[in-house]
Parts: sequence; C-alpha cells; structure tokens
Amino acid sequence: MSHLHIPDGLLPVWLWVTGLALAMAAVLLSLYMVRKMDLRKKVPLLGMMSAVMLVGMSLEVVPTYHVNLSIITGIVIGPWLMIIASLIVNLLLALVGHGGITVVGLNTLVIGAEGIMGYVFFTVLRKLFKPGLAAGLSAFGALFFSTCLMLLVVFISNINLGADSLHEVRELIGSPTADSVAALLRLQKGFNFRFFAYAAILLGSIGWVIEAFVTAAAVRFISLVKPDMISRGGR
Amino acid sequence: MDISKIDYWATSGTSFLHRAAVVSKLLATAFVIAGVILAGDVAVLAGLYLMVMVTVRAARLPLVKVMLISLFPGLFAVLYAISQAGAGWTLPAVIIMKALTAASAMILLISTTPYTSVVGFMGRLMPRVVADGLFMTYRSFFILLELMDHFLKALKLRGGFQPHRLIRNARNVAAGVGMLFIRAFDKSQRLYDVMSIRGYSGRLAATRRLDGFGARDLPYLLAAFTFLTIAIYVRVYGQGARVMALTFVLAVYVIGMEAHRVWKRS
Repeated sequence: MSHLHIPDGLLPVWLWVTGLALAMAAVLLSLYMVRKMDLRKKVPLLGMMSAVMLVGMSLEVVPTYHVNLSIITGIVIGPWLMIIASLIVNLLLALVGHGGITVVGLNTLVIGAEGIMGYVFFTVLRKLFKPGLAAGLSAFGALFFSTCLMLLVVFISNINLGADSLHEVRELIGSPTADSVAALLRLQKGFNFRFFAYAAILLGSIGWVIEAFVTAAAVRFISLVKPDMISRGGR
Repeated sequence: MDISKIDYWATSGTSFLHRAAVVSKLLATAFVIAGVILAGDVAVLAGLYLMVMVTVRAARLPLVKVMLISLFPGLFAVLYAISQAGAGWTLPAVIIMKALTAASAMILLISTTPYTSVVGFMGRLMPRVVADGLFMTYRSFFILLELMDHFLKALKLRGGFQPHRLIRNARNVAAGVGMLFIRAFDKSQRLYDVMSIRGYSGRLAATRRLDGFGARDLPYLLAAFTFLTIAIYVRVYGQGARVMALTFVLAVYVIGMEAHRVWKRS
C-alpha cells in the first residue's frame, strides 16, 4: 500500500463530479497530445502496461503491501499515455471493488499524477544519477506527491462538510438554539484531518520505501537488459 | 485482489443473475451506488448491504469470499471513519457501511457478468482508445499474471524467496518486475504484429446487441430500486417508518430469494 483508493459514498457529490470532469478533460487532452502517434501500435502497449500495473497491485512484496508500478509505467509509456493507463486501471479496480466507481475520476487523477511526476522526476534525475537510483528517488518523490494530492482531496471534502452545514448555519441565524449551535460545532469539529494525514503518511511512507526500492531495482535491471525502453518516454 | 477468481465466477455461473441482461444489472448496481451516496442512516445502509448479500447468496456465489474481497477498500474507509469519530460513532459506522456496500455491489456485478460484456457496454460511452485499452488490459492481465506466477514459483524452488530475508526477497521480486516489464513490452509489439497480420485496423471493441429483459432481471432490479426509494424518502422526510419499511422489504426479498434457491436445488 503506497496510496489509498477512495471508496464510493464518502466524498461529497460535487467533489467526485468535479473529479470525473477533470479526469475526462485530462484524458481528452492526452488523446489530443498523442494524436500524431500511431495509436494502433500504442493500444497493445497501453493494454500490456496497464496489465503490468494490475499484476503489481495483486503482488504482495511484503505482507499487506502491494506495489503500483505506476512510476515505471510512466517512465516507459510517457505522461500522456499514463493518464489513459491510469483511467483503465482505476476502472478495472473499481469493477472489483478496489476503489469506488464514482471516484474513478479522482483516483485516476491521483495515480495519473503519480506516474507523470515519476516520469518528470526521472527525466531530470537521470542526468545526475544512474538510472536505478534516479528511478528510486523519482518513485519516492512521486508517491509523496500523490499522497499529498489524496490528502488535499480529503481536506477539500472536509471543507465541504462545512458547506453541507450551511443548512445548520441558516437555522442558527434564523433561530439560534443550543441544539443548532451544537450541531454546527459537531459538523465542524467532527473530522480530525491531522489524524488522517499522520496515519496516511505513516502507513504510506513504508509503501513509498518499498515501491522506491522495487522501482530502483527493476529500472536498473531494465537499463541493463533493454535500455531503449526507459529512454523513449512513450515515443 | 483476485481478478482471476472473479472472472471464473462470472463465466462459469448459471444462476438467474448470471443470465440476466447486462443493462438490468448495471442499472441495479447504479441504484445501489446511488442509495449508498444518498443514505446517511445506518439502518438504511445495513438494509442495502443485507440485500446485496442475499443476492450474492441467491446468485450462488461464495458469500464469505465476496465479503473478504469487499474489505479491500476498508483501509481508507477505516482511517476516514476514525478521523470522523469526534462527532460520535454513528458517522464512522455510516462511512464503513457505505464503503462495504458499494464495493459488494460492484463485486456482485462483475462476478455475475463477464468482463467483456460490462466493458462492451461501457465502451459505448468512452473514447475508442480507452475502450480498446480496457479489453487489451484484461486480456493481457491473465497472460502476465501467469508469467509472474511461473517466475515466483521458479524463484521459490531455487531458494530465492526465504522467510526473514526481506531485502533479498524484495530485490529478487524487483528483478522479476523488471523482467515482467521487458516481457510485456516485447509481447505488446508481437501482439501488434499478429493483430496487423489478422487485419487489425485500429478498432477492437465490437458493440454487441443488448440482451432483452426478462423475469430474471426483475428481483435484483426491483429490490435495488425499492431501497433507493427508501434512501431518498428517509433523506427527504426524515426517518419516519424506515425500520418497518426496511424490515418488510428485506423479509419479502429474503423469503423470495431463499424460496428460489430451494426450488432450483430441488
């Protein structure tokens, strides 16, 4: 577990609808950016790489922890195809109850960002370090980034709890009673974001280290056996 | 996460739900998810969860295994629920019930409907590259899973996977992951070549005609719709007579489904 898949029904409707719209926009942008590629050739690659991510997610490297392989996938297929691969993987995962179907958009953005950041970090770091080390550092950085993104989503959803409490605010203004004050305070104080963030970072950091280690060793192996695979960036 | 097991249940099952139309199952699942989103009441969510589980049993799926798979999204839900515990334990219970019910409904859908049928339907609403990618991913997943399985078996037989040697194990598995990427990359090129020879012109997903509705579509669809109605009613008008309505609907559904099971067995 290096990231968390958000299930259905927890986030406010406006947030997951926005997530779906943003993911759709990101996918359309990706399709526009790859329009000059031979997509007939890229579809089998997209399918294989998405499948590798799924195999990684069903592989327990250490008990209860699986890897995503999103960073290596990002490095191999490049940032634009990574967004499409992320949507495919999240749709498949949602169908088997691993992450919600309504939050496919948000989960796509989080995992897509993970792969894209991995690609960007790797492109920069490989000029300074050997491919294995560069990939390991990229994986750690990208996973930290995606966890922060996920925490941002949760934080925004918590703000929405305040927005949901507008009804309470109106009641409070209309007829200020002890009950309506208490209800408002309960809604505002109910969510302990600090606890959630600490727990997610604490659990996640173990996953980041495992994923970074696996990514580093795998990229080192690839750079020795088939170096052109990681130097093309999806082209 | 055991996708191969789910795929086996979906393709080998013969229950009424396996034979129901894809659209009706998708619609019923959408009703359950909508109910999960709208419900803020533990009793309504518990009713929805029970209804899904009764359907799992009626579809002759292994109840405990489905329940275990539905626990996957649990970690996020548990963390989120504990973070909400400041306002009492009702909200955390609602959060966990929501995650479990939605996951169970999705697993029920994919365990009774072959993946190709679900994606074939969803593909109508998606860009072609995504729809084709979904098909290709599913096909490739089993090939690569087998490849990885063989690699891990070989690794264990040769002593490369030993207890208490975490770093060495992780390094060996990572080499396997590297090999998996290379094999997947090569296979994708080979696959393209083979498909090109067979006339692949950039279109994979063929749209199938939709199945007609029948009596087998009604039980789950009606139960899901009834629970959605109850969830909306409770949300709009308050809790009122929800317990009575829920108990009645559940009782009718359980009796109906169990009677169907007994009848089919005899």
